[in-house]
Amino acid sequence: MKKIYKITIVFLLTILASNSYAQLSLKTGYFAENYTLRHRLNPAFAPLQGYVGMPFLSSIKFQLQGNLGAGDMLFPLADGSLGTILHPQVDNSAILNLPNYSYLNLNVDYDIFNIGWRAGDYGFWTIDWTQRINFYSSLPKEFFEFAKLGMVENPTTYEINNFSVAQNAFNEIALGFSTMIPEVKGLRVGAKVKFLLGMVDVNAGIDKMTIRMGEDFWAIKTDASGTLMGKGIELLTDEHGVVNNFKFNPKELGLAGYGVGVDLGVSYIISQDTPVDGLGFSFAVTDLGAMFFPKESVTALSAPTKNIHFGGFDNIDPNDFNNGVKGEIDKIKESLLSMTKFYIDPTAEKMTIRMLSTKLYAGINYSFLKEDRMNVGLLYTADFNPLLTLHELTASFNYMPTNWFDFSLSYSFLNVSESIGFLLNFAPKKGMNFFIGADYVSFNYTPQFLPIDHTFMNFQLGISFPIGVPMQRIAKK
Amino acid sequence: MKKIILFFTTVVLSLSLIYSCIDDNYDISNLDTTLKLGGDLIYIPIGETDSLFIKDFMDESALKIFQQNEKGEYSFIQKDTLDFSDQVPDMSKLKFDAQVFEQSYVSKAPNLNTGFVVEPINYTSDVALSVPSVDFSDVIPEVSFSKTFAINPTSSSSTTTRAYVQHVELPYDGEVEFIVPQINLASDEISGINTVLLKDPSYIKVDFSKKNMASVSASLKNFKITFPEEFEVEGTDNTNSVTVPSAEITDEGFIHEYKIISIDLSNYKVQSGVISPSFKLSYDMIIAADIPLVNPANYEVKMDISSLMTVDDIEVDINDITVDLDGMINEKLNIKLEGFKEDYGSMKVYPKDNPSLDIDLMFPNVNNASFRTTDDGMTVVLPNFFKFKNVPQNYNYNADNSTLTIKGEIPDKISLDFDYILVDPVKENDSYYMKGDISVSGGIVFVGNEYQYSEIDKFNSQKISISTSIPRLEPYLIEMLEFKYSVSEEIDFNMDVNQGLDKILRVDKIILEPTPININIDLKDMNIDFGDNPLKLKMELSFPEKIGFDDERIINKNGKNVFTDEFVYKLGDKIKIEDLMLDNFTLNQDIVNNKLSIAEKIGVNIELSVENPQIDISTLSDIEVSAKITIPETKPKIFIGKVDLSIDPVSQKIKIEGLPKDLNTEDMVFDLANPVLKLNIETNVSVPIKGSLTIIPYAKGLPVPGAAIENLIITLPAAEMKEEPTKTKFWISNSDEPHSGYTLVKADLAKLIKKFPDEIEIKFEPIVDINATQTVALYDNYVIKMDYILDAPLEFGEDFFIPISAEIKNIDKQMSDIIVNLFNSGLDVTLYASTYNNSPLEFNLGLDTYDSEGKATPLKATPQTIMSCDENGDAVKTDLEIKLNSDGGKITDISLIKLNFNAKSGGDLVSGIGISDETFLKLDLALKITGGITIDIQDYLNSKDKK
Repeated sequence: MKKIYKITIVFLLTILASNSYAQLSLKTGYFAENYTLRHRLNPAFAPLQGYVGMPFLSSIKFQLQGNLGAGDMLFPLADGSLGTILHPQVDNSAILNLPNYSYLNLNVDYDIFNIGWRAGDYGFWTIDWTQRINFYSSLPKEFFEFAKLGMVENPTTYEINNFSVAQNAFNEIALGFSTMIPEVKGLRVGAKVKFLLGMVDVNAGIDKMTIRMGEDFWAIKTDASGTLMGKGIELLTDEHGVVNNFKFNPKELGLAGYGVGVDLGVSYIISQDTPVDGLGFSFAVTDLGAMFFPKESVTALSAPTKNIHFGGFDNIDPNDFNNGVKGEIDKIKESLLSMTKFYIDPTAEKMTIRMLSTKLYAGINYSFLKEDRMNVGLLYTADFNPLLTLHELTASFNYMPTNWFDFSLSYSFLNVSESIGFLLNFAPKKGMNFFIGADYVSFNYTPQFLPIDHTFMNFQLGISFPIGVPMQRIAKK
Repeated sequence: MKKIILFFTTVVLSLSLIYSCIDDNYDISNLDTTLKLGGDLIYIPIGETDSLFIKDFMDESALKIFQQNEKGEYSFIQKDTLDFSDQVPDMSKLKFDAQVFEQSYVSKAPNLNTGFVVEPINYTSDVALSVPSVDFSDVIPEVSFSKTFAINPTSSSSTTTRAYVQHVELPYDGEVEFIVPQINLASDEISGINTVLLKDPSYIKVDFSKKNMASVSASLKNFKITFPEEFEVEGTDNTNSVTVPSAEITDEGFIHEYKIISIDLSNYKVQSGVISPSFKLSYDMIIAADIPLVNPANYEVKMDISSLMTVDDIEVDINDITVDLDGMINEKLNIKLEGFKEDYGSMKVYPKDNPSLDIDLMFPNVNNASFRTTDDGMTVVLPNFFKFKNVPQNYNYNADNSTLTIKGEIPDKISLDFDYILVDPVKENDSYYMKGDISVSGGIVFVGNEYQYSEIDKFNSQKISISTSIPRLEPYLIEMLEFKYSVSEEIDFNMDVNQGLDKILRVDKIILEPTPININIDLKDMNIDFGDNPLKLKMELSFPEKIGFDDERIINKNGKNVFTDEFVYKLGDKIKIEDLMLDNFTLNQDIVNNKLSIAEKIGVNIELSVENPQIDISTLSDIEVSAKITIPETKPKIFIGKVDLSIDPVSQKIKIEGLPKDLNTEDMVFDLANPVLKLNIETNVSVPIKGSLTIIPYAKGLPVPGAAIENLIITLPAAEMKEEPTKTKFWISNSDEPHSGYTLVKADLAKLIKKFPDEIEIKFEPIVDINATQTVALYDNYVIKMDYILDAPLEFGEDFFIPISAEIKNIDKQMSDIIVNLFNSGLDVTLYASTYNNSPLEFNLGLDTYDSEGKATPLKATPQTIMSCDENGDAVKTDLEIKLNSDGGKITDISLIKLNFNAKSGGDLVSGIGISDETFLKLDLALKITGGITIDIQDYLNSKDKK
């Protein structure tokens, strides 16, 4: 238990260290003109007016993203109670609805400071300082099949791959610039350079676990590995070199790594007086770059390949049945525990390059209504995160009833399953801007507000202050 | 304000929208934490058991009973040694006390004055000459002829003298054949017959007579008869004819006889031993008669020719006839030398009066007969001690071997002048002899020629005679070549044995430990001056064959064991013969009154000799001979004979303790397929022993009925040496299979232990045949030891049955809870077991469980059978499906699990396969839990919290 507490403390400290708002913006606001942070989705975008974020409150974004919902794991029972997917009354077919890999990603982006201002007639500069914390986990379907179905034939083999968790935390300082290209009416390009300051990056997992069950044997084979990159955390080992604890040393805190990232974007709005006047296209690639963790910051962990074959208790001595069987059980326990035993592997410690989770955005939208106050758009997003790549299509409807308020509704699908989003953005020319929104809003929640259909939810809110003169909207009419 | 209202309206609507989506069905506070793991069916491999051996079910003391034999199989083994050595009588007391035999004899001095005389000796022998016989009757020809001539008047040839009488002259002629038999010559010695000489009178007679002519005159004119040319007839002319010019045939007739002197057969050759002569005579005549013309009648003249011849002799041609002289004279000349009392050695005796040895040959008195020797000649062998002088050279005399050979002409008499007689006497029965042979051999030839048979026929009555005459020979001079002086005496050899004979019935032969005997001989009072010539002494000790030696100096000669030595002797020396190794006595004597006697004599023969002695015989004096034979105490080693070697029976009871209780139940049938009793009996008793072996199993102090093995007969061969006892192995079993090095004795041992005994008695009764002749080595420590191993491998017969139970005791509380929870939850638990059994036993498996109070729980298992191994002894897999259930009964705890293995034989197929270290019963267990495992996490957490 002590260990769990310590891990929780580290997790929270990491979050506290990221005193900024989320850098990622809501995809629902991709096509919302007054959404000040949409340049984070495509650096070619620029708000109509400059802004300066309220320190520490300029953007807070929380996202829980997974392909499981409570409804996938919990099932109402006949007696009114709720049972887990492993409950005896829950049919085995429930397993079939599970995706091959269940993942759960938690992202917290917290802006410490941001600012954006216009430069000349066409340009727009932005500076963002964001604390980013990401948690990734992957749970393969075969794990549940193993627990639920057991041995369905003799023998039955389960291949459980990518049973892993990963977490990183780093600061991102981004300088962005976008500009309209006068020579090409409606074309705008932008770019950002991000300087990344790594705090901690840790991952551990069972790369591959093979469980083979027969009438007369069980066999388990595991390959596990892990890496800890960070300062201020010292792993402790027992006399056998097994990592069994860690020690937190605040004095040693510091940059664990550094990196550079680049965002590139382009948008193009077909100019007026064309048959498709108001049709816009945009394309962006963000987070192109990597983080570098020098060798001294890297602690490699390895868990040698383990093979456990249990064909029963060997040589059961009828005359010493109790001790014999208990001894064998102890051996099995020891073997199972040994699968999760990590050893520090100095030979594997080397400078580590961690590629950023590159994202790709491609959008198309069409503005209509008077002064183009309404538009619809379709956004394709690809998120290349370290564990898996997510693909998403988001259709959005955006309406700006007044110049200081607009709202957006979105509908996302593909990986996301089906979810709607919203954005309320209040952006008066003077005073305080406020926005709140979410890309994934579930319609079914448990009383404990856990999404039932799928575990996709996020929200973002932020406060900023407009600065400068707003740029004239380019509208068809 | 509008903006504010719009803002809040939007927020409230949003929150209301969200809240309206809460589904109470998913209230986690109602979460049922029950989990079912493993699907509908869980197989839990429990694993393999240790190999379960029979020994695992036995305590330590039982493992002492069931040990591994040399094949590595567990076996009921009982082994020990029975020692009979004390039962064998001590045969070492038989011995012969030390003995000294001493005797003296006086040997008289030789007296040569008694002289040397050979009385006349004459050997005559004759031999007949084989003369071929001729039957004279065979060579006599005969003639018998008769013919009538009619006298009739004829006009042409008759003349009339008177008118009423007619004178006729009638010519007649003809031939008459002799009757001649074939002459058979039975012998090849006759090559032909020349002339047959006839006795007088021998003649041929011609007789004329008239018929019907009483008053009629008749006459013959020129009656001519011609004889065969071979006939010599008196009065014939050169044509071998005789003519009668005229002759009146009176009323009495006319008769004329012709004397036959001889018949010449020389022209008739012998063909195939036969002479076939043939003779004819012819006649020619005129018969004249005056025939009346009135009342004429049948006038006739009859002529009869007959012969009368008797053989007087025959002149025959004789071939050479050889007469074999071998064996004609073959005499042993055994001339006793009267007066010779001692062997004086070789000497030359010259006889008086120049005598000669004459050989006379006399032949039959046959005219013209001549004889000669065969080409090899005639040989006369004379005694070699006769030496002759002046022998004519043509006699071809060989003086070395006194052989005379004559070739060619044979003299009527052969005279050989004696030179001297070489006397080298041979002693026989206290007399001295000269011995030699006289024989005649070779052959003589009767020289072939023409002889009258009457001459050579004399050989049938007269024989060829050879006589050898030796006249009386009296010496006038004796010349000694070597002086010999012999002493022959006998020494008594008497020995008695009075001890150590009590077990001996008859002694055929006693073989002794090597016993040296010494013999001392002393010659006293020899007043002989031999001058400078060396005196040679030849000594011969003759032991009867009954006294045997193991000494190369003694050889067997003429049924005696003879010691011979020859050396130069010096007067006054002691003669010592040392360490003659006495070896055995051949006695063939029944032992009566425990007494054994040996009474024999030893011959002592001493011969002194000196060459060319110059001795004055008259001075020779008597010699005293003293002989002393010393025999130490003699220990017999082996005797051959009959013995009453009684050996008391021995028995031993073996307690069988530490038997597992499972093997001591009433239900148990310990039927082992191949029990064997191996005996290894070591004995140095030199007598074959026939033993009777009996084995009796006991249960509770009483013999197990019908289980005893009685009177197995085994035979132990005799040992040849004390140090090399015989080791005889017996393999007693019910199998016919031979085992190398063992003598097979068939017996059904299985019945011994079918009901396991608590005691086994082994009895052995040795028997020695007192009627058989034994060879007994005599020593004090006879050994008879019998190592026995009753080896009953755990190879099971068809009746084998043992109820065995194994208990898993004091089951841990945690383990007990697991089991209890499993079964009380109503789970259907099936224990799958793959058993591997390479034992020859089939196990009927059952299971009972008991709680901590010792009460049986409702948890039961379906009975199963574990198959035995296959016929090759390889493990057989048996899949068991043991359903464990409590039939709804509740189990409080499990403290004891009792596994029941009723072991029984796997049947004929596995007969002969035993239990060894390699024999195992192995169970590969898996638990099938239908319905998976259901647990409540909350309960588990609660229980953890409580702890």
